[in-house]
Amino acid sequence: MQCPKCRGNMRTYDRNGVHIEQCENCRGIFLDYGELETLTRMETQFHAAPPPAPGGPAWGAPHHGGHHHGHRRNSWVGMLFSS
Amino acid sequence: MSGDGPVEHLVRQAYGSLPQPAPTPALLTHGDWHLGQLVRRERWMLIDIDDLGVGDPVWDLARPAAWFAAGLLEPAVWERFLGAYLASGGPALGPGDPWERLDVPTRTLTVQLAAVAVFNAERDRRELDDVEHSLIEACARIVGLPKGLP
Repeated sequence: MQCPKCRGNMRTYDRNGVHIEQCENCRGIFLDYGELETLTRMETQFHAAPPPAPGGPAWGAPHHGGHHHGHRRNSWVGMLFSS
Repeated sequence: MSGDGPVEHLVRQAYGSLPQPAPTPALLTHGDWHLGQLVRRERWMLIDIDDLGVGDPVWDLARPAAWFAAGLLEPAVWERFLGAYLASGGPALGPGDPWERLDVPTRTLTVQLAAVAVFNAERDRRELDDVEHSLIEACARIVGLPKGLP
């Protein structure tokens, strides 16, 4: 296949299941039909929030611990030591 | 908790969302477990057996689990506690994910702790402190759970 821009020779690569052609001359990239969507989907999955870490409830605090060290009040100690 | 403000409304809403607990295994349960029930006299002793009975011991774990879920206990501390419980043969949790059994009792204890916090603040005519706010925020996350969980 010839590069549609500079007429250079296109070389085929497979990257994570996506079939791309890259021009050996101008380095331009040609995507087959549907492959832009595949890349977009992969990008979305990459940026999606990671699943909750095992070892906690789905509704647990997003950033556990450490927030109250500097200014803990009496209610915390009371809670630890009473019903 | 007699007030009718947004915080009280949220805590009541969280209470209303609690699923029915699973059927109770008949095991020895302390019933009022907290750090004040541990006394050191040459060795550690567990005191105050007023509420001791036969029931589901997962409720004894639910209070520290609620502290963890509210972000008050650091994960490392909670995991050390849970790991020690499991390593010593604690019977409340089966094999697999401990949160399958812990989730509903922990939600319940979170709501109870939040209600007590609001009650105490009302009684003392003061604002909720940071720790108490963490419990209210946990109630908001419970209310936000999709219906039908677990």
